[in-house]
Amino acid sequence: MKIQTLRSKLAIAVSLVLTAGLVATGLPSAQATTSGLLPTAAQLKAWKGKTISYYFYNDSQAELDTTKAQIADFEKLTGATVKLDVIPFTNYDPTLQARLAAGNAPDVARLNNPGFYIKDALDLEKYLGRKYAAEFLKGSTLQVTHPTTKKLIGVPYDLSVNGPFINVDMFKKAGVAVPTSWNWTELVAAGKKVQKATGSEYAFAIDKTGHRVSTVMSHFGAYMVDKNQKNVLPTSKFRAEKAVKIITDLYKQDLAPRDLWVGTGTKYSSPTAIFLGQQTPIFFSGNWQVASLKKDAKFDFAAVPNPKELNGGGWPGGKFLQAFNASKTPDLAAYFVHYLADTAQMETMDKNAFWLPTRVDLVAKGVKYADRSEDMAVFQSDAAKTPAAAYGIQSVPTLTAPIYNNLRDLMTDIMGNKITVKEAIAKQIVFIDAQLATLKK
Amino acid sequence: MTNSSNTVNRRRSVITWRRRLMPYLFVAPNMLIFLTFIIWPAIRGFQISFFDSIDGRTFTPVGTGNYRAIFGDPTVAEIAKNTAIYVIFYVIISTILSIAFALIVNEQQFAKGFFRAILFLPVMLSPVVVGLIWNDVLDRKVGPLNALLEAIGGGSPGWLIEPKLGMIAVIFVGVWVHLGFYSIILLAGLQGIDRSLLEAAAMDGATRTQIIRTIILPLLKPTTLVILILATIHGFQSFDFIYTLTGGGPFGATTLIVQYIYDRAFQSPIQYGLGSAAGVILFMIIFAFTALNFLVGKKRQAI
Amino acid sequence: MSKLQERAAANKWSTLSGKKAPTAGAILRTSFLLFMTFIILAPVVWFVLSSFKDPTDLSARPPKLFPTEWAFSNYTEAFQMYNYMRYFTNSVIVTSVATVLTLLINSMAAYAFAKYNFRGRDGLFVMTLAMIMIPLQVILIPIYLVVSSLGLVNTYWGMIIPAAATPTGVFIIRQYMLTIPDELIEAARIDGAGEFRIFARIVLPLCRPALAVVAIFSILWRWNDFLWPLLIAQKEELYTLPVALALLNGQLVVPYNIVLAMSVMSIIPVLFMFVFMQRQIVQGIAQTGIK
Repeated sequence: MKIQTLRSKLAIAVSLVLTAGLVATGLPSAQATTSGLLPTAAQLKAWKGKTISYYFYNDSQAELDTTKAQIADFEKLTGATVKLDVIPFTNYDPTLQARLAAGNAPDVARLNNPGFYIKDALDLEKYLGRKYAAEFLKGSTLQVTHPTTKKLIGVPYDLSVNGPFINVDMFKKAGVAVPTSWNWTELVAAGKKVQKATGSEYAFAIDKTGHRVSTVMSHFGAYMVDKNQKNVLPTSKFRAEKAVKIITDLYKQDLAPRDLWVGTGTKYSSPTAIFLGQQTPIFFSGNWQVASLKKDAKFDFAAVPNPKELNGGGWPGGKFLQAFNASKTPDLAAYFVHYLADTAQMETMDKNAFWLPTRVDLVAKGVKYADRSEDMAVFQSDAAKTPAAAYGIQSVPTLTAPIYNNLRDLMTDIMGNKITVKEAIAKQIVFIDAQLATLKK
Repeated sequence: MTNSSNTVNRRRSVITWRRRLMPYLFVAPNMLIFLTFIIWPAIRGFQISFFDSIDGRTFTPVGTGNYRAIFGDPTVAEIAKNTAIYVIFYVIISTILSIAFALIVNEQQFAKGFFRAILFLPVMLSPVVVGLIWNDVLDRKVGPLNALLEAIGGGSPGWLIEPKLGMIAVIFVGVWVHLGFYSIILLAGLQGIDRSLLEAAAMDGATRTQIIRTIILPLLKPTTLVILILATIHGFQSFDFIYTLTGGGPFGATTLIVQYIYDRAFQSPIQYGLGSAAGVILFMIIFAFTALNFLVGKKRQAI
Repeated sequence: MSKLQERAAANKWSTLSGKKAPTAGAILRTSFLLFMTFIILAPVVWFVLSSFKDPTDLSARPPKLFPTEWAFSNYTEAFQMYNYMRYFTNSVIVTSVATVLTLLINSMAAYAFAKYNFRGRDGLFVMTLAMIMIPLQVILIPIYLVVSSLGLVNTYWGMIIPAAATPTGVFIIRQYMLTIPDELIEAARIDGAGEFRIFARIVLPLCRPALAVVAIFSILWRWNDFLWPLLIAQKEELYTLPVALALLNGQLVVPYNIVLAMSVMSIIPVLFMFVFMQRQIVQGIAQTGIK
C-alpha cells in the first residue's frame, strides 16, 4: 500500500507545517510536505515484527547516540525492528559492495558515495510521492537523482561545509584579531604571525583530501567538472595553479605538517591532533569537526568564514540516506529513510551532532544549536555563499572519489619536488578526461 | 580347510579396505575447508582477473587486458622494484641476524631464558599495533628516536618522509617483528646438534669460530632453509604493518605489491579485475621463489 | 705485578658461590643481548607511556618520556566509546574455538600424511603447503561470496571455520609425527584397535609438543586476525578486538590519544599470554625439532 494515499487524510494537519520563505536556491514557497507522516493501520499490521538493517558509520559519538535513540522511537512507532550495523569508515564501500554482490544487501544505508549504488537504489518517489524531492535543497539532491529516470533514489541527510577553524587563544596572544572576512594572502600572513608570536610548530594545517583542496580552488574560481559532466579545469588552469601553490608552498616550507601529508601514503590523514595539541593556529576542515572539537579542545576555538578571493563560501559535501531495491520490505525501508530525514528527527540530529540541515523547511526556520551557535552560523552563511559551480562535480557521482584522490596524490608529489604545480594541474586535466571517458562506455 | 582360509582372506581384505579408506577420511575435513575457502575462491579470483569490475557484481570481459595493463604500467614497475628490494634485504638480514642471535643465546649463561623469550614479544603484537608503535617512535619531530639522535648530535632524519629512509625503516620494522620467530626455530635446530660432536672438536683444539663455521652452520642447513622459505613468504606478504606505518609512502617508496592489490579493492577507483590479476602474478612469484628454494635445498641435500 | 697484586687481581670477582669471573666473550654476549632487549622493549614501553599522554604532550617537541599528567581519561573515554568486554569476549570465543578446531583437523590431516601411504598423498601435501602463499586480499571478494552463500556471514562460525585449516599447522604436526615409530601403530593394529582409536589414544598424546606449538601459533594468529573478522562480523556485537580497533582507527574524528589507549588495551591480553606462556612456546618449538 502506498504511503501516498495518506495525503488526503493528513492534508489539514500537514498544511500547518507548510514551508514558507525563500532559500538561496530559490525554491517556490508554501507547498505541502510529507513532514510528520505517520503509518496507516494497514501498514502497521504489515510491518509488525519485520526487521530491516541499517548500514551505518558515524563521525562522532553524538551521531551514534542520536541514531540509536531515533531507531528506538521508530521501533515503537512501527512495531518493526531496525538492526544497526556500524562499519569502520575505511572499509565502508568495499564491505557494502561485497554484501551486495553476495545478495546480502542492507535495507537502508548512510552513504558517502551514493554514486556507486545507483543501480541498487530504491525509487523513493514510488513510496513518498514525486514532490518529496522538493522537501530538500535542490543542489543536494543532484547526487541522489537517477541520471536517466530522474527519479529520487536517496535523500541528502546532512550538508557539510568546508571551512577554517582558528585557535582563538593563540590569535589573542599574538595580537591578531579574529577575522570576520579575509583572503588567502591575509590568512597566510595571519597564520605566520601567530606562529611566530606563540612559537607553535606550524602556521596552517588542512585535511589531506582533494575535497578540502577543492574549496581553495573554488575561492580562486577554479573548478574541475561542471554540471554537464564536462572537464572545466583547462579553462581555469591558472587559477587552479594559484590555489594549489598556496597550499603546497605552506607544506614545502614546513609551515604546515608535511610529515603528516607526505608520510601517510594513500591513507587519509587529518591534522586534528595537531590542532588539539595547539601546534597550529589555523585548521582547515569542516563543520562535522565541531562536535569533537567541542569535546576535546582545551582552548578557545572558533569557526571563521572562508577566505574570499574571486568567491567566498565553502565547498559542499554531505552524506545521503538510501534504501535498496533488494529490500524485502521496501515500503518499510522507504519509510525509515523518510523518518530519519523528517523535520523533527533531522532537527534533533543537527542540534546534537552539529550538522547542517538539508531540508528546505529547516533551512528556512533555522536550527537553534544549544552550543557553538556562532560557529554553526558561520558555516551556514558560508553554505549559502557557496557558488553554484561548486556543485558541478556532483554530476559525475561515480567519479568524484577518484578525481579527488588523484588531486591529493599529485599534491603529494609537488610537496616532494617531484613535479611542479603546472605539471600537476596538467596531469589532473588528463586524468579527469580519462575518467570522464569511462562514462561513455 | 578352504572355508577357514576364505574367512581369513575376507577378514584381511576387510581390514585392508577400511585401512585404505582411513587416510582419506583423516585428510577430508582439512581438505574440504581448503577447497571451499581457499582453492575455490582462488579459482574465482583467477577468473575475475580476466574481467573488469567496479562493484564485484557486474563483470566486463577484458581478456588479458588487466595483465597487459600491469606489465605496461610504470608505477607497477616501481612497485615491483620496491618489493624486490624489500624482500631481498628482509630475507638476508633476518636470516643472518636470527642465526647470530640464536648462536649467541645458545651460548649464554646469564638470564638465558629471559633473553630467549623477550625477542618473541614483537611476534605477538598485531601488525596494526606494530605500525602505530613505530609511527610514534619514528616521527621526525615528536618521536623519541630523533630526540635521542639529536641529543648525540645526529640530526633529525625524516624516517617516514624520505623515500630511502622510509624503505630502511620498513625493512627494520619488518625484521624487528619476525626476528624472534626465526630465532626460536633456529634455537630448536641448534638443540638438535649432538653435543658430543662439539665437545670432541673443542678437545681437538678447534676455536669457537672454527666450530661454528665447520660443524654448527652446516648442520643447521635444514633449519636455515626453513627460515629462508618462511622469510621469503613473509617478505612478499608484508602489508598490514607497512600500511599502518607509511601508507605506502613517502611518494610510493614503500608501496609493495600487496598494497597494490589492496588499493584496487579499497581505494577509488575500484578495480577488482586488476587487483585479482596482480594477485595471480604475486602468487606465481612466491611459488616460483619457494620452489626454487626448495629444489636448491634438496639438491644440497638439506631436506 | 707484585705477588700481592696478582693475588688481588685473581680474587677480584670472588663471590660467595665461588664462580669464575665472566670472560670477555660472556660480557660481549650479554651486552649484545641487553642491546637487543632494549631495541625490543623500548618502543613498546614508549608506546604504553604515550597512551597516558594528552594531546599537548603528544605534540610536544622535544618529546617527553613521561606524561606531565597521567591522562587516565584516555582510558576511561576509550572504555566508554569502546565496548571492551564485548569485543574481548568475542576474541576469546573465536580464538579458543578456532584453536580447538584447528588442532583437531590439522592433526588428522597430518596423521594421514605422516603415517599412511595413499594415492595422491604427496600431491595433496605439496598443495597444502602451497596454500600458505595465497594472500588473503587477493581472494577477499570470492571468499566472501562463498561464505555468504553458505549463510555463514555475521556468525561466529563464519569467523572460525575458513581459517582453521592452517597449512603451517599441518606441516609442523606432520614433521613431528614422522618421528613416531611405525611399530607402535602396527602393534596397536594387531591388537585389534580401530584406526581412529589408534590416532586418538596413542598417536595424539605423543604429539603434545607439536600440538602445543600449533595451539600457540593458532591463538596468536586468530587473536590478531583483523581483515577476515572485519568482513564477516557485520554487527557490532560480533566484533573482535582488532576489528574494533580498526573501526575507531578508521573513523574520521577519533583523537590520537584515544587510539593509543585502545591499542594498549588490545595488546594487554597478548602481553599477559606472553608472560605466562613464553616458556611453553620456546620449549614446544624446541621439542618439535623443526628441521
